[in-house]
Amino acid sequence: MKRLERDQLSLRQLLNIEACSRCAECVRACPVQAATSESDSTAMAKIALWKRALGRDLSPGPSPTAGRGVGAHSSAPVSPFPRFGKGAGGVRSLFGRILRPAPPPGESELVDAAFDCTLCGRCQAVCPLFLRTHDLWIAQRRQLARALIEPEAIARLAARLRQDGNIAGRPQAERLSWLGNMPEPPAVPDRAEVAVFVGCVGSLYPQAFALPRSLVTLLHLVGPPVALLGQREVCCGFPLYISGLEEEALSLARRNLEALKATGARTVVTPCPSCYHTLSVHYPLWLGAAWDVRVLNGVEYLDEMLAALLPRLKPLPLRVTYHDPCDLGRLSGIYELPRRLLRRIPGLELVEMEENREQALCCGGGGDVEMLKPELSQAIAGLRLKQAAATGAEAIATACPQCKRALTAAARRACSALRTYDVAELLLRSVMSDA
Amino acid sequence: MMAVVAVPVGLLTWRYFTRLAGGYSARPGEPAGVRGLLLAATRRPSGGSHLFLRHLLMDGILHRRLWHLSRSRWLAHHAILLGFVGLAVLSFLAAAAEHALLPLGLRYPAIAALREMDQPFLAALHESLGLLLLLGGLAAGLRRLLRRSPYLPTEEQDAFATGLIFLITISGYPLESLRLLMERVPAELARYSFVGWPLAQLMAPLSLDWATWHFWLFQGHVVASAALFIYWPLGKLMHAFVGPLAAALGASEERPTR
Repeated sequence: MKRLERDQLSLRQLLNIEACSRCAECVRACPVQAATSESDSTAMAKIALWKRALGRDLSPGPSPTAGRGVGAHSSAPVSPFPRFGKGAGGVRSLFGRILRPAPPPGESELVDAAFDCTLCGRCQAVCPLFLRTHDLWIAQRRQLARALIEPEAIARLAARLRQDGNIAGRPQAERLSWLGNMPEPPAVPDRAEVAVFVGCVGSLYPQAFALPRSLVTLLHLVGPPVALLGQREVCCGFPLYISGLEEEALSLARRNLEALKATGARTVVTPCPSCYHTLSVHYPLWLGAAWDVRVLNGVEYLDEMLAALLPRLKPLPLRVTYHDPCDLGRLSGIYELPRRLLRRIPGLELVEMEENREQALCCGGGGDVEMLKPELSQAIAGLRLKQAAATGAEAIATACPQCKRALTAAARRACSALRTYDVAELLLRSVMSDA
Repeated sequence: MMAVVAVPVGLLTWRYFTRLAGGYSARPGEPAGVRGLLLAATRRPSGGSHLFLRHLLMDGILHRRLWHLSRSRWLAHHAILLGFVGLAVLSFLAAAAEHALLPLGLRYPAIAALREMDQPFLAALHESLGLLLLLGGLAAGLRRLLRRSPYLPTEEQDAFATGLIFLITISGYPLESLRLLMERVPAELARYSFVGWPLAQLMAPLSLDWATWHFWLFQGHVVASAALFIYWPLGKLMHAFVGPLAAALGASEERPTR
């Protein structure tokens, strides 16, 4: 029998589990609930599930109570809670159920709850008790990994990263494909004061190639040349960290440290919010004093370069709505910088979606959900696309390669004319504009 | 009766915190378990004590975020909180005056008044706090039962806890009426019990044995209170203690936005 032990969680995480008052604000905010009407993986449900699981033997399959809630076989939201007034047994049985703990959940129930989650952090943003749910969800996944009940796809991802060093499972030689295909690629030095950490999505997924191309071109136009880590760059470790495999992520961090040292850079700029979070928050913890570089997100660095960039910006008449990437916004607190950059583009009109900044809906591309449950990821992206379309915007701006991929694919599926651009892409279009 | 309540409450609370402490992973070189928990509890919080205390007040107790999310929920929550805490504090002060302060010779009028049920201000305060608790509970109950939000499951334990709170509060008014009738409190004092006194006037024509009725209703009131306190660490009501702490810690770690 497998078990999830209480001492695998920190006191703070246990406190968060105990403090949940099940007020359901997180249920209303959950993008998975919004897309599927299923509430098994909402914050409230996951906390209740973990309360039942900690320190007890788990059954391999789903628990006897799984899906017994109201609407288990209908389109209504499914609840994992024993509802008042449901089920027979009278007063004696009621007291028995209240005083006796419910049976522990099954392994598959825990895995579904933990991984049907984009880790968007919206539950944390609305929780009246400020529960640190994002940290808790990753701790839960770490527990599942230690108990060897993680999804098969996560094990495959870890193997792929060990072997290839990137999430796509492509040869590292392809990491600079985006640069090679540029009509006039900028001359990239081997060593420079500033290096760009492109990340796997921007390097290896053609839908996101425009990001590193735009960022590097802009930086070469307005500042000193920047170096690239190129084939030496490996995944930052974020997908492993959020899957509960922190130790494996550490070995990738060490490889990136060596690659960065080879460039001599003191500042590293990344267009990917997930890489940014990992490099700025986790690398100092994992690598200690050895990681003595300044980490900036692409929009932060562009904001620093704004004075040099402004004279080059030409009118770009476009009505745009900005989608806040979860890892840049809720996880890193950057909401206004990309908006400020967009507002400096002459002729560009910025309109807000109804849910924006801390309350922004996820694009569905996070939390490994795209890999584990593509249909769920697509459903969430579809919802966000509808919100964007409702603004009357001609295009969506974002600052994340994964959001760009998810929203571009959603627009294609919905036969929508809405195109998704990165902030750097729009800035470059403005610079290159003939108007 | 107090001992009957205190022993299980004490045991359950101890079990609760040792279970929490059992899960405490210490920092390297520090003890785990209860000792580690005590050490962690006395550690200066990140950001400074003043920041932590500010968030404890604004986010842990006043629930600033709930205010922004829903004014009606905030009002219902704080009516329950204020009513419950107020009544608990008044009961504690009355017991302290009766069993500790007065026997110690601290015979000041203010202390003596704490146990005086007919003191106009205290009588009105008791009734007001009870009413606040009832109104808050009613609003919360209506939200759960009438709106039937699919997002808001009402668990058996929710119904059990709110049912007990309702029973305790609602029994308080007839209990006060029976006391007024039993002790033949003059109308000029009794009228400050603005719910209990009109109820007493309605009951008066029944001419019952008020002392017996008061005794049994009081026993029921105490048993329900004891049941609630014993159940407290077993259900969601525990959030009343750990929630403010979690909120203060979480809010003090919120990152500034740019």
